[in-house]
Amino acid sequence: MWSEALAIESGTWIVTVLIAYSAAAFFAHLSLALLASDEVGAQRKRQLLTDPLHLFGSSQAPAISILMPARNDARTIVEAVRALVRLDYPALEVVVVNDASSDGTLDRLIAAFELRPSQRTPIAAVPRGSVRGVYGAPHLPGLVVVDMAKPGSRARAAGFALAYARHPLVLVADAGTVLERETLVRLALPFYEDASVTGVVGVVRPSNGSVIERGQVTFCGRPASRIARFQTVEYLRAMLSQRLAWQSQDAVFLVPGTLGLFSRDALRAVDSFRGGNVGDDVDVCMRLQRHAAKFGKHKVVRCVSAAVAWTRVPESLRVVARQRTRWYQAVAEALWFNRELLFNARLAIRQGLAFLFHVVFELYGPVIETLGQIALVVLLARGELDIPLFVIYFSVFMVGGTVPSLMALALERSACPRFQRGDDLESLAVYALLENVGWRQMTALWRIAGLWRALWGIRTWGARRRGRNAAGEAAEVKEAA
Amino acid sequence: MANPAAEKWLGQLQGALAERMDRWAAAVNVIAGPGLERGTAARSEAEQVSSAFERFLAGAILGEEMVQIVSGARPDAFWAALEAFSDGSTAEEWQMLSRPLLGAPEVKREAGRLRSFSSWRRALAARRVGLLEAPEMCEPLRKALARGPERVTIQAALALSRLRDLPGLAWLLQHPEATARRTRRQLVTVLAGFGLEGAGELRTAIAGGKAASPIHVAAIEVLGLHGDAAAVSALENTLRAGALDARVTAARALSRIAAPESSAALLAALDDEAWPVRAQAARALAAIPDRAHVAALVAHVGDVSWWVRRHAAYALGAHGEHGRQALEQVERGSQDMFAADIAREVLQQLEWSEEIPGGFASVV
Repeated sequence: MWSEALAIESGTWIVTVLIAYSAAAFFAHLSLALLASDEVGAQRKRQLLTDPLHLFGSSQAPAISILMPARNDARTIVEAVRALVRLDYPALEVVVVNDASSDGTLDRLIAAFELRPSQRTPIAAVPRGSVRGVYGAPHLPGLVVVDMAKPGSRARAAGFALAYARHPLVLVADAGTVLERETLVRLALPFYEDASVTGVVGVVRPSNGSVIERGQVTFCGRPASRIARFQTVEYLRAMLSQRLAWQSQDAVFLVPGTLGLFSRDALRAVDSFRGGNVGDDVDVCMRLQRHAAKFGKHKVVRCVSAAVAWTRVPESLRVVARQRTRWYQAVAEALWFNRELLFNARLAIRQGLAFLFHVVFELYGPVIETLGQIALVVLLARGELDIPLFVIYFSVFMVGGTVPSLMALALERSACPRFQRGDDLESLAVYALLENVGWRQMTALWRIAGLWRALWGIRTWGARRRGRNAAGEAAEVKEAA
Repeated sequence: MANPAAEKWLGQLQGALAERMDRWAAAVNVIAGPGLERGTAARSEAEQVSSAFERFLAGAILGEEMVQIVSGARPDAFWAALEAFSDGSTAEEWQMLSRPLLGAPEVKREAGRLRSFSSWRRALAARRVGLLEAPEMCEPLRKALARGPERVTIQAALALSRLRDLPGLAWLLQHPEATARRTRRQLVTVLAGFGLEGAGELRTAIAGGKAASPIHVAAIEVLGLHGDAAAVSALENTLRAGALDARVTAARALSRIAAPESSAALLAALDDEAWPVRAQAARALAAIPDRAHVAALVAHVGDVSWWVRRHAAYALGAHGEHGRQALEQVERGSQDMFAADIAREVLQQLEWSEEIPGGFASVV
């Protein structure tokens, strides 16, 4: 029997393996989409039992420090800080770290907020000579600016911000990220209700196509750029649907470029923001999960779909490519450094399965898909392609890529409905189908590049370039870290 | 059923099934989507209900008419309107509105759901029923409180706190295990809701000085928030011999009460082995400035813990001219770099104090 099987042509084997892999990926992603729907149901029920605005009118809101690493953000930094200072939260401070910018970021801050040199002392030890100065303003006691002497990674800058922060909960924000009015309240609520919670992540959505006035999203629409539309579908699938699914399984692991509120003590316990690796600020949740498992604690990291932040996604392929390469490098490094999650008896089996999913479908999936598709082209050129099998593979590939995205778009309406025009989601549904031809293949190449950089340990903070927002104003398009 | 174990098992099974059904119903609702038309209809019904409440309070319609109008609305619209309306109403208006609403079929149905198999449904019923100012709801709410689990207990407790139900408060304090996973902050909100009428129960609960559970620690915090001078002695006992969380909270409560007679206990707490207690004790001394505290505070500006150094230095800042002089001496003469740094920070804050909104006291 084996000899018969081996006698089958190599082309048939390749297509069969690809069909099996694509079918497995489809069922895994479909399961996640269904779990996400179930989780949204659970979160809607929980929301009926809470009244966050009323609760946070009291003096019992846990205090939050927002950490904002900034490098060469002169164009956006003042408006970004102003938006944070204006946020509706009873106990808030903002710690900006100017990571040795060369474009006058610090001067803009000093001028806009009338900052003066401050004698503020750090809670944790700061290496001598690493900080050039600390600035504050008497009329804004909740704002501190730390000026770094030398540039480093974003995680390192966040680590310095943490040393100067004083509140028990911390959130690392980006100069290009806009938080909704109630976002902090929604993120802080699980900390208020459950003593075991150490981290809460929200949902980040592309702001392209939306109107932002005075730090608030006043209109939400689909992006004008096609590249941004593809990314909108991706964000809803990865940052809303999949994250909610992993939340239901107590396995929220990777939070690249995200919105996360963490317990300061827990961050210190897991030695976060060390600054040595690209993935340092990506794997915080994994480290928190591992740490909690040592003490037999579960559900320490939560994902709240009602907590939304907006970020401008790049509209040029070159910038997207660099961003994605860096993200997947971070993911690869994070998975490697937290490999203990795979076979750790103290963790639940579902966390091991979640880790396996990330390795098989997120990390190595693009390699398998790309090699397989190259092989298909070669087979086609040599006239050895089994056409019926290829049709099956293509169908599974298309359906598997489209259905989870469509389910994520449907989830948007229930979990965090923001689109104000009825046809925005319908038009994005077309992109859920189109992304399988071209965009998905390009993403796979960027992922492979990220994996390659992780293998060779290549380090960068991330470059940036300018784009234009829907209103035509010049806006900083920064690579989300 | 004769066998209690089987009865318990059956109850658990029914509860689990009911929970699952609720969750699936919500999930189906998610897949179906909220729908713009449905959302608009619900908003319109909620507006009609609100309008009926307003007309009743204005004397334009009778209670029976109001009940008839609101009975036609969907349950979700009715409760959403009631909750929104509760925010802007006075206590008298609320009492006036609650009386006729007790006769509304939806309110009766919701009260019945306090006995539902689904714990989530019981919790939601407790939250909704607790909106009404109706003492007759206390008894069913107390039963839900005792039945648990924790999420039902907390919703029933919040409802009972609005009704100022002291037996409910007593039950909570006698059953700390029922709220063991809840945070101190949430429990403070619950206990503070019982108002000053509950202070006696809170004092009794912490009288032994051995309070350690979250609800008892929250009781200590609430006594401080009430500024309850009668609790000072019990708080001092807790500060001396309580568990770590209780000692920290007792120091904070004494700071809020700001009774000068607490000085001795707080000065003693400056030498506690746990830094959070030392830090809170130093902070508490800022609230009762006395020249006699200065030397002890200066000694702690050089503490090994940053938080103790910080609170001791800011407490000195709150001690007027004597404190300022002590800080200047530390800044100029201390061999301890960390002590000099924190003294410098506080001196700058004192310099800036006229420009700080709320003055220096707001940054202590």
